[in-house]
Amino acid sequence: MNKFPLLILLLIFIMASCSKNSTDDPPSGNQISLIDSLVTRTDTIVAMKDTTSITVYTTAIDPVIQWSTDHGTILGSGRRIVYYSGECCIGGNIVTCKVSSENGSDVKSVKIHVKSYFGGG
Amino acid sequence: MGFRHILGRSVLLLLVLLAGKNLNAQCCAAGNPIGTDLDFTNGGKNSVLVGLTYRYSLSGSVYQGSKKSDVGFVDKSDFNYSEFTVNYALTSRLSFRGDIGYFFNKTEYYNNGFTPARANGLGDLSLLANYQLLKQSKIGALAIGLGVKLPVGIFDQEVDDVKLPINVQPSSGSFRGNFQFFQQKGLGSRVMIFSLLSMEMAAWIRSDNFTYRYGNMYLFATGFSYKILPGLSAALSGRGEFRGRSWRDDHISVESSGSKIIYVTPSFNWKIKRKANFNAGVLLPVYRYMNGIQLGNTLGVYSGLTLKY
Repeated sequence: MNKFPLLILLLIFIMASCSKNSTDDPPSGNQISLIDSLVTRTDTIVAMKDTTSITVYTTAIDPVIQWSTDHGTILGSGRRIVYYSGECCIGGNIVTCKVSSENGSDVKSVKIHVKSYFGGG
Repeated sequence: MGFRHILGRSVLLLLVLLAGKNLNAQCCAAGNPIGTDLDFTNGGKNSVLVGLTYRYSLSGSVYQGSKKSDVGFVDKSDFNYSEFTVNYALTSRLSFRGDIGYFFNKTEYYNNGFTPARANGLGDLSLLANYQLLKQSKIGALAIGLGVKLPVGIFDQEVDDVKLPINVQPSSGSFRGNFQFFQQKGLGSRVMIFSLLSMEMAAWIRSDNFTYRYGNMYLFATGFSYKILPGLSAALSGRGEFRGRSWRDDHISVESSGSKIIYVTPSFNWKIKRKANFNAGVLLPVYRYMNGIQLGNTLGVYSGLTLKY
């Protein structure tokens, strides 16, 4: 019996199993899937003028919800925050939400595009 | 005028310049107020100077270039800051100085009723070496200083599990180097003139949250002091602060950063006892040009007590 086709199929299966989906990472370590989604009212705002709200939908019970951003300002806390930016922070800015519970934690980010008040950006 | 006389007056000037540290606008300026003074006072080998300074700064208006603007979500910002200083003279020309500061608050206030972003904590540690090039010459006394700031304080601070914006973080989050050049000359028995040139460069901030580099800072100050009474002097100085644009990730220039600000600084110094001085003053911005649109400094006040051993 020719085992070559079977070997090829097995190789394809192994390769497919090892491939990584960058947009939907499975939780690793004690990171578990606690965040259903991170929803923004709008992902593009004008600096100095607009704000946008970001809401985290989580399955965790009594979660600790942490927010951070690489540029700009986060107002409020908890499941829903408001993001604001001055002209200092024009460009694509990352807002990150980390949800922790007794069982572990989960992290998701969203990109907010900040346009210049003067146009452009 | 003898050297001892000049040295005595330099105590006053030290305090004037101590007080004249940059009480710069809050927007995008984390960390300690920039150290711009040069510790010119060298009381001789093994002498020690200890100082405690308090500062308050308010940035109450948004500026687009040099004009006020009512655009924006940020209402104002302010900070209350205190700094402890120790200066040690290794020789009659070479001295070393350390400053560590604490922000009682560093706050950004918002319109529309949002809770202000308020941070507090230890700022940066500043280390500076001063060398007196000339003690007496036709242009007076000259000294240079070379220093570094270490981000030992609080950075990435959170309130209610939310990371505070970079401009209210107590520490600058990056290493900084600075160079200073100082000159002073006595004119008669009551008047002293002085000038200061300073430059500061910051390294990149590379924290978990921020990738950012502040623009270079250049400062020029010049002024005079006048002895009103024995132990009491008044000083008036003008200072120009020029900050270059900052950089964010991927080396993108931040258009709305950097500024040109000119201050007038009236101050006074009171020699309480032979080895103790108290000083206080105000920083009044008379001209601002903010690149793009930013909060601009409205007022700075300071006071300080210095003891010499």
